[in-house]
Formats: sequence, structure tokens, C-alpha cells
Amino acid sequence: MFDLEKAIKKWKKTLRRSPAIQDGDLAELESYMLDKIEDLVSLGMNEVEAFKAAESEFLKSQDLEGEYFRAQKNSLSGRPPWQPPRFMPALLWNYIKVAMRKIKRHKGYSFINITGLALGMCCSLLVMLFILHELSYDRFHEKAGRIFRIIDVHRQQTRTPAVLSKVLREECPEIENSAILLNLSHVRITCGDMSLKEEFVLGADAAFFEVFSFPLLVGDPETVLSEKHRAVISEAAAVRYFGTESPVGNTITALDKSFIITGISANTPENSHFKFDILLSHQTFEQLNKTGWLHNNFVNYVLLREGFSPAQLESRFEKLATKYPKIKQGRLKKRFDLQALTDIHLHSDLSSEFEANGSVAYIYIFSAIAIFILIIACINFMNLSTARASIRAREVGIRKVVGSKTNQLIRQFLGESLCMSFLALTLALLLIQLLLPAFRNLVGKNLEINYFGNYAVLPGLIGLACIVGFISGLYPAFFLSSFRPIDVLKVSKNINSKSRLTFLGSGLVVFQFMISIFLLSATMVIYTQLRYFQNKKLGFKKEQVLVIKNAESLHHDLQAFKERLMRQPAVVNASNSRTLPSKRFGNWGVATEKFKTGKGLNIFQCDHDYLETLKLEIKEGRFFSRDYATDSSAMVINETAVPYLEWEEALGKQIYSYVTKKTYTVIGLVKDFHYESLHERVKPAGIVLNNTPMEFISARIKTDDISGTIGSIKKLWDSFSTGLAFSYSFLDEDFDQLYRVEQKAGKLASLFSGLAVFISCLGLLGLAAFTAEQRRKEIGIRKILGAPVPGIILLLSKNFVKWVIIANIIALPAAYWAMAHWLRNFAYRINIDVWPFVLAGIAAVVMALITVSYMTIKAARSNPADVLKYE
Amino acid sequence: MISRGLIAASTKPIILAILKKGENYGYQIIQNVRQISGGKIEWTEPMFYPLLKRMEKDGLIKSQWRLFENKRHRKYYQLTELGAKELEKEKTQWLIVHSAFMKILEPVQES
Repeated sequence: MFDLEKAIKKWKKTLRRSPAIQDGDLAELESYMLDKIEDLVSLGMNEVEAFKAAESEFLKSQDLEGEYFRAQKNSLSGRPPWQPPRFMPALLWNYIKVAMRKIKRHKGYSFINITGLALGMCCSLLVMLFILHELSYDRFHEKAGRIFRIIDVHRQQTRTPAVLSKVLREECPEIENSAILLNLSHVRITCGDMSLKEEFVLGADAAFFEVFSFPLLVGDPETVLSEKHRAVISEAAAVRYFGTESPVGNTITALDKSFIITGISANTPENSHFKFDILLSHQTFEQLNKTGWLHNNFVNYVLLREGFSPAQLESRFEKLATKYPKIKQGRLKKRFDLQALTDIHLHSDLSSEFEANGSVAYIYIFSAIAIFILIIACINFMNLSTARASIRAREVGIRKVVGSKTNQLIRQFLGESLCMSFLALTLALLLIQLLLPAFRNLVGKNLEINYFGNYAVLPGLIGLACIVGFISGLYPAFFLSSFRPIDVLKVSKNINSKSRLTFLGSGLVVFQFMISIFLLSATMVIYTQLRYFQNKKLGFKKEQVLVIKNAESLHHDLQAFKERLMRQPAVVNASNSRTLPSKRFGNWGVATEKFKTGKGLNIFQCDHDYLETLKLEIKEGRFFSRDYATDSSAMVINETAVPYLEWEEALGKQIYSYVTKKTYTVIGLVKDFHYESLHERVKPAGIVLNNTPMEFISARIKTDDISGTIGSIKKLWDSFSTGLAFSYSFLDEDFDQLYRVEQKAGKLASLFSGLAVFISCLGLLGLAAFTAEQRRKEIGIRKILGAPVPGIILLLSKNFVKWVIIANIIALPAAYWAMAHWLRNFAYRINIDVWPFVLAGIAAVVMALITVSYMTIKAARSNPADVLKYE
Repeated sequence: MISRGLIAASTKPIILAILKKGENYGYQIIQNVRQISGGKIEWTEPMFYPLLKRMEKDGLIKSQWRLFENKRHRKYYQLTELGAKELEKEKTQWLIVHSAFMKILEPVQES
């Protein structure tokens, strides 16, 4: 039965504890309570509810005593004397001293805690560095937010006609300026006696330096490219060609035209989606401009006026379509679209990009992994600190007895974890300095950590340490500070029972292993897929094929060079061709009897030895032969091309090319070969004979002395070459380059999963050591009673293995689903098998067992006499 | 709802104004204010008592315990002379603020 009087008495008792509330005040508050309760009862509440409602108001108002105190003191601020000051310098020193002692005295635990946190931080900082670099692409331009690239939605192309930006500039008031780029790439540049093939050569118009913010070291941005035959070169190129001399005013030759150097620009930053070493004035290539709407060879950028949105401009495209029908494509609503400059690197994957762009999906995946690893490290800290609570329990008890309040203790423990976290940060920064070169190699970016260059770096690092310290210290702090002195100071009370791993603690271990197992199995699947790529029969033999580039520069000496090359003992065969598998290929519009409208067909142009050199396989008919003079108008097609060209039988059929304006007769059928990455299905392709000098010479070699062979081929090249340096690669390596993103992902995934497993095991080691330590006496007694060593090992390891198995059960299906999803990216993929997952699961269990076994075996083999003699 | 700052600033003058109408006790004052403002001014009740105590100490009000219906004691508050003066001062100040505020908000008439 509820007794209101008793309840009020009890309530008064709690208030009376406060020295600021005097008896008179209390009487007044009581009278208020009674009035309120009476009122609420008259409104229909029962006494219990009314009392609770009235009491809750007092519970809600914090610091009632403080208010009374200040009312007495007649001041609006001030801390009552019975409340401890917020900051006590003497105690702070004591906290630090205690924290340092704990770190020193328990070296093993401190090591595990700090190393784990440091590894987690190091790893997440490295990933963050990578992500920040990816996100920084093209943001260095002052007007980055207003620059847009015009793309061709219909053809999924970055290239558009040059006339487009001219028209838009005339018709759209939203546009402040526009720039045109022409990606020339791989152009031979001659300057005096020097002749080099330059990879990054662009044609650009006069507005280039107005739209983009590339700093010019020498030259006037408005005029450097304003006329024909002008060129701007980068600092690096200036050094390459002129050394210490000033290049301005000198002449270079490119594409049979001469250009006067009018300016030097700083080197293109790495985070630009296009790079240039040489900029040639775009007006020089007049004939390219004439063709108007049909000539999709340019990349158009527009700079919007401030305050205008891209949508406003896009809406004009539709209206303009009546005047310029080419702006629309057939029944499609629009052909052109705007793409924000800052979106290009992570969100664009169109044809003819300047370079392979990044992928936002990998950014998400890697940030998730980095955060997970950090969490795993935090969990170690949480678990070890709570598990070791019994060691701290007496300290908490004594502190409370001498007057510590719970929130003071929470602050003390949080302070300790912050201390650890800052130590870990220092270690992490050292680790980063050590690992950065390797990481740069791994991701292929020139990453740097600049502590003072950016105002956000130091606060960011301190913030990271604070967050990590806070997250990992929060639970232990609340857990430890919740001990009641009476429990922990009574000798008979078994405090150990409280410090056994709680449900939460084991849940956290399961979580750690879940992530580790997930990453482990993902890594295995990625590697299996990569190995599949490397070993899959491609329809030709990519091994031991040396690819010599720039062969067309030998002109009519090419045949002689090839013959001399084939005479080399190590060279089995050699062939000259315009393209090779893994390289860019041409696409012809073709027609047959069945369809006159034209279809695109990928075309390989080569000489007679292509089949033999690449070891393509003929399925029907024959390959080109020197015995047939008519082969110059013959074509060999692949198997996929037959149904594509709507034939049942291909041999002898005619095919017309709109490009060469010639009719070809099909003389042979080659088995399908993979000339693109295995992301793509094999596409229809045709092979035609071409006897003019072409870019590549591929040589099949058979030797154990690769470097010797390359050396002698280089010598041969130098005796023929007109100044262009010998440049070569191996076909299999070129092919592997197509999987660079996957290889990078594979390497990063294996690194991360290794780290995750390592940190998780580190935590497990700490826990195992702790459990073994805690159960020493139990083990001693068990041994005296006759328990065998293996039995004890089993007893101690059982729990850990159980957790890892639970983690397996949760993680493996998730990993299976995720990897099945990932594999859908590939046209040719492994059948997702159960074994990588089983293997990952077993590996995790085994690793966990090995980790704990050191501690358990040590504990199980201990001499009971040593353990029990003090009792 | 009215902001905490404004509530804090207005509590004292309101208490003084209510007590000007006659003596009253804590719970009733709170109820009166709630009624007059249509529930828009809500005081956190327990915090209100320390304020009464402070005002009493400042001499603005005085109190007396009385037996109510012969069963319970209640502390009744009364305005002192000093309190009445303080109320006048507060009233002038509030009116100044009010009129300035309204003038600013008045639409400007164009001639």
C-alpha cells in the first residue's frame, strides 16, 4: 500500500543531505509538493502517480542546492563549497602519475593497447590521406565550382565538337568563358637535336589559363596561346629540353608544325584529371576546326557566370536544338550534358577520358574498412580495460571512500584512455613516416602528410586522438567508476566475478573477428579472381612477347629492322601491327549485303606474321599469306563476329568498310581471343593486312637471358632509330595493367585484412593472458585433483574458439553475398566457391587458437605448488 | 514557448506584480502566472523557490507562515515598500523596451 506521508519523508531525507537547503526551505518545498499533489489528485490522478509526477520535477531540476546556495550568498554565480572544484591541479598530477604507473607496471597490456591503437590509427590515417587526395581532384582551380565539362550522353563520350562551345558562348548568357582541349598525347617533339615522345601533349585555346588556374611561371596568361604556332611548356619539360637555359622564344616541332615557346607553366598537380607537359595553341590545327559538328575530337569546358546553375544552361540545350539540330540526337531528349569539374575524377567513366579515373565505390569501401580497423583497435582497449577491472577495483573503492564522486572517477579514467590514445597517436605518426613510401607505391599516388601546410591537419590529428581515446575509454570508465566501495573493499567479496568478460565484452570480440573474417574471405576471393585473370586462356599466348613501341618512326627502315630482329637467336617470331591485345584499337563502320546501314567493327591492322607471333588459332580458312597477292583486300574475323554480321557461314563473304572505302573478302576465322580486359565479353573483331609502318613490333622470344636479349635488341634499335629512344614492354605485363584497380584493391584488402586479424589477435592474446592469470589457482587445484594438461588447455581455449565460431557464422554469409555482388562486375569470373570462405573461417579459428595457446599452455603446465603455496 | 533568457529576466517583475494585488503563496503564484499567460509561461517550479528566497533577502518581499484550514502550514509572501518601488522601476523599464520594440516594428508611412 502506498503511504504518501512515508514517501514524502523519504523524499525530504534526500534533500536534507544538502547543506544549502535549510529547514525552512524544506518546509516550503514540502508545502509546494503537497499542494501540487492535491491538485493533481483533484484532476483524477491517483496518489502514487501524483507523487511521482511532483517528484520528477525536482529530479529534473539539477543543482537546486546550488540555486539555494547562491540565493543565500546573493550572487548569481559561484560553486558551493561542498561541491569539489571542477579542476584540481593536485589531483591531475596524481591521475597522470597513476596512469604512468599502470602503463609501466603492466607492460604487456600497455603494449597491446598502445600498439593496437597505433596500428589502427596509422592505417586509418593512411587511408584518409588517400581519400583526401582522391577528393581533392581539380579543386585547386579557383573557379572549380563553376567549371563544367560538356559530355556526349548519347555516345557516352567526353569528346564533343569544338563548334559546340562557340555556339553556346554566343547563345547562352550564363556562360562567362569556355576552353577547348584537344588530347594529342604521345606526340613526338623535336627541339634542336633532341627528339622525345611526349605523353602529355594537349591542344588548348587562348582561354585555357583564364578558365583553369594553372600558374604560369613565365608569360602572360592572356596571350601565351592567343595565336597560331605558340606553345607553353611545363617546368619539367623546360628542364628536359633546355636544362638551365630559358626556353622562351625557342622553337619546337610537333606534328610537322613548328611552335614558338611563349610561356612556362608550373608542373601539373597530380590531382588534376588531365596533365600536360606541352600545350600547343589550338588554332594551329585549323583543318580540325572546319569540320564543325561532325568532328567530335575535343573536350569542351564552360565556365558559368556566378549565380547561375548548370540546370539553367542545360534547359537551353533543348531550346537551341531547333536552331542547331545536332544538339539533339534523334528522338533523344538531349545529346549533351554538363559534368561538374570536381565530379570528373570520382564519378566519370566515359570513353576517351584523359586518364583512368578513380572510383567512388572504392572510396566508400576503403573508408569503411579504415573505420572498422579503428573500431577493432578501440575494442581491444575496451575489453582489456574492463577485463582488468579487478586490479583497479580497490583503487576505485579507496578513492570513493575518501570522497571521490563518480563523475570525477569517470573523468580520471577517460583521462587515462586519452593519455594512451595520444601515446598511440605519436607511435602512429612514426609508423606513417616509415610506411608512407611503401603505401605510395601501393596506391600509386604521391601522397604526403603535411603537418603545418594545412590548418586542419594538427587539429584533425588531435581530434582523432581525442575521439579514439573517448570511444575506447567511455565504457571502461563508466564500468570502473560504478563499483561500490562496500563491494570492492570487503575481503570476502569476490570481485573477480564482476570483471569476467561481460556479455558486451564477448560481443565485441565476436564483432572484431567478424570484420577480420569478412576481410580475410574477401581478400581470398579477390585473389582467386585475379589469379583466374592471369591464368585464363586468352586465345593467344601473352607470355614472352616483347612489345617495341614507336616502330612507325623507323619509316621505310622498319622492314629491315624487323628482319634483323628475327635473325636474333632469342627471337622466334616478330610482327608489326597498329594495335595489340590490351591496347587501344580502331573501330570501322562496315556494311555487308544483309545490312547497308553500317555497324561498328573493331579492327586490327597487322602484317603477315601476327598470327604466328601471338599464337592466335585459326578455326576455319586461313590467315594472310605472302603467297596471295589479293590478301590486301582480305579480312580475317573472330568467331563472335559471325553472328554479329548476321552470317551463318563467313568464309568468302564480302564486307565493305566506310573508312577505307574498300570491300574485303573474309578468308579466315580465328578463335575468339580476349583483346580487352576480362571485364568485357569478347567483342566482334576483324583483322586486316597493312604493309605500311605501324606503331608496334611484337617479338616472341625464347630465352632465359631476358636482360641480355633486351640489351641486344636495344642496340639494334639504336642503330636504326632516328633519335627516338628504345621503348618496350612485355605483353603479359601490359595485359595485367588492365587489372590495376583490382590488383590495387587486392593488395589493400590483404593489407587491411592482415592488420585486422593481427589487431584482433593482439586483443585476444591480452584477454587470454588475463584469463589464465585470473584462473591460476583454479588451474592449480584442478591439476592437483588430476586434470590432464590437454583438458586444461581445452577448458581455457573453449570460450575463445566459441566466439570465433560465432563470428564465422555471422561474417561468412555476409562476405559470400558481398563478394558475389562484386564478381558481377566481371564478364568472366570464377564460380564463387565455398572453399575460400571455409578456409577464411578455419584460418581465423586456427589463428585464434595459436594466439591463445601460448598463454593457455603456459598456464596449464604451471606447477600447482608455485601457484598455491601462498594460500 | 518563451525563451529561457526572457523567462529568467521577467520572473522577478511578474512576482512583484502578482504580490501587489495581495499576499500569496508559492504554489498559487505559479498557478496564477500559468493561468494569466494561458500556459505560455512555464516556470520550473523548484527553481522558483530559491528566487523567492533571494528576493526576500533583498527586502523586496516579506513572508509569514500561516496555518491553512488548520491542517497545513503555508508560507505567504507580501510586497514590501522597497518591493513596490522596485516594481515601479521595473514597469518603466519594461515599457521603454516595449515601446521601442513596437516603434521599430511599426510600418513606415510614406508621405
